[in-house]
Amino acid sequence: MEFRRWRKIGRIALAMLAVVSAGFLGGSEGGDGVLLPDASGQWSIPGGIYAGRAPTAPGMVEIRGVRALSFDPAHIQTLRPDLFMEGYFSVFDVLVYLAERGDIQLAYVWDRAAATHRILSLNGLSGWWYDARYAGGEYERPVVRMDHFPVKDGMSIRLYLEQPDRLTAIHQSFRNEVKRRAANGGVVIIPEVTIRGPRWTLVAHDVIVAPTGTRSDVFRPGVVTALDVLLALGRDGVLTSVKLVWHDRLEDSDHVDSFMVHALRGGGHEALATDGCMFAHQTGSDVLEGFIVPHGHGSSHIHLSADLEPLVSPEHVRWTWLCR
Amino acid sequence: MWIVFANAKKRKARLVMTVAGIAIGVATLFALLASSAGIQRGLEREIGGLGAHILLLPVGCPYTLTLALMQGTDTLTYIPQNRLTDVRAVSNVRLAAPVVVGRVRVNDEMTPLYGATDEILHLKRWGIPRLDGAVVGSDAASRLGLSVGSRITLSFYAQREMDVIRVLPQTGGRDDTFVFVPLEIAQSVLALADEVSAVLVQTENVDRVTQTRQTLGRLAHLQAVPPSEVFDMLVGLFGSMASTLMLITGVAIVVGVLTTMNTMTMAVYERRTEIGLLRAVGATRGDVFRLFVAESLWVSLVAGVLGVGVGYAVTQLLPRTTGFGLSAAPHFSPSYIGICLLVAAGVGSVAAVYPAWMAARMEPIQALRAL
Repeated sequence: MEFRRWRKIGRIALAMLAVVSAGFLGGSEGGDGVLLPDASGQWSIPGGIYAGRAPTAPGMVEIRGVRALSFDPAHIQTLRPDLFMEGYFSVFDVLVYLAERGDIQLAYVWDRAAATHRILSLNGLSGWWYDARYAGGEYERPVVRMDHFPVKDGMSIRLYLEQPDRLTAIHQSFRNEVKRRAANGGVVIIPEVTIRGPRWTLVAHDVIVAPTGTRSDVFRPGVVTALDVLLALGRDGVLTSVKLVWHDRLEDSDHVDSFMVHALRGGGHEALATDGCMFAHQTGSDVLEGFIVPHGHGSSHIHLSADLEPLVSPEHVRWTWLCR
Repeated sequence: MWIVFANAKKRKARLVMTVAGIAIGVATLFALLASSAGIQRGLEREIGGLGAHILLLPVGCPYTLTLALMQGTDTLTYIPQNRLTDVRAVSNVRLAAPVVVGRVRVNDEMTPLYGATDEILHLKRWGIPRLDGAVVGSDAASRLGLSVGSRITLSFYAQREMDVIRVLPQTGGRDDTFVFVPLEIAQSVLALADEVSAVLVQTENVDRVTQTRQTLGRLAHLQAVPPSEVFDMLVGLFGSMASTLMLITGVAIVVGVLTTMNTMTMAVYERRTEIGLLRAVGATRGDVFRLFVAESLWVSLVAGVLGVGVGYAVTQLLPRTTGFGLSAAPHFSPSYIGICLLVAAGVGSVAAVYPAWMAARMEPIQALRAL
């Protein structure tokens, strides 16, 4: 017991040291970071040490064919308290707030089969989907559940009528995720995880992902994020080390408040941080491939950082080494 | 020649296998030539069909935006319409035609919609003086059961009705799938207030396109892209794929050469007596050499003809559109048949040289010992 207690204290001390080092080395733009596994061989970052800023500034939602509407985070409560901690909420919560305020007429339903809230109609029209970007980013046509996408200060949200075939594919992919998770007894198992390094590719199959609570400031305990997939690869021995760097901001982008993957090693390969290069992730499903989506991707988008994307059970997760 | 045919008749199974080996390589080559040419011509037609010297697009990836424009996919990023005044003021700009694209319900069927001003009539030869109704592409017309005078209902964000004033003849390109309507109608149905998807620019002096593009590119909220650049990029993309396939074809052809060479070498050993007899009755080394080369050439040409036929059949099974939804119908040219038959003949000649040389070197007495 005594040994365990000292080990825990040791781990917290190491994490604290990493935070302090990050501060000394210019932590706001990404400093020294956290190297995993830690000294005790753990593939997790203790929650509560790194924390982002909850949304506080007024934001805008542009609803095509309606108008741009403002919202004040102070008045918004989340419909997903199972996901979000106090003070945090999703894009969908903003819409519900606008409807409650009487700015729009919104009919929605909890779609149990897709594990998400779904818009039935907005001002009498059906077929809505959204597009979002964080400050400094670009609109990316995400395939992330609307009630999963965390709102940050400086974020832009647009609602538009999606093409029926793409919207059908999006909902189909969500239903497939729920079925997959149920078939796996509630455990998140990713059929294919691909890491595309600078000149190499690493593929892992049927990766069992457990929640690590890295973003316990935003998400409730037990929520699995895309970053947990990478940590699961470390726990499984596919990766030998990963360097995560906390960014309050990233060049023009602020607030970022996320971990970015700056380096990793595994399978005899390595990708080490160089100026302007880091790993970005995508999650998704094969049914979403084949749509031409300007500024977007067949699956989820890359600017929503991995530690802020809650997962149900996607068909694939891909990490790609990107350079400016 | 009768010796060649008699020998082929005697060893039918071997003949079939040799022919099949070469035919596979030739069929792959033919299919590759026809489909590559089809993709290139499809792209030329689509990008040429835009009719612009310069494309003005919203900020973003120019290639996806151009593809979306050709496909009729809503880009969700737009150019403010008031930029048109600045665009038209740039020297050397003869015509700036704003367009809006997006898929909407036309009589309840999702259909690509193309909104344009009358300026589009300078870029597309439709034979109408004004775009004051719906002009329908041939495929869209047959799918929706439309003809001139039909009433159509456009709906998405808003609903509008209008008459079909023209059904376009088949072009084989994406225009066949569009419904073209006046710009303000498309903007209303797609809920775009004072925004456009792209501007098609024609210049007075084509030699000054580069300078004009640079000037236009400096305007805020847009980027100027020459269609030729998009074409080169897309052709390059398909070209790198075609290079890989060409490499595979090359391997198939080399395998064909080796198979034929092996068959001919075996034939030389098996036919030592025949060679000895031929030499004994006065056939020269040259005669024996020519006999084996002729045999190999004949087999290769049969395989070549068969390969062209199989290649043609394979191209009929290939998808008619690329992954980007653009037309990729194979294009056939008599020159491809010539190339394939030449390659087949080349395979036959190269494969025959060594066995024919071996046969020609054989001494008559040595060959007759096998009796």
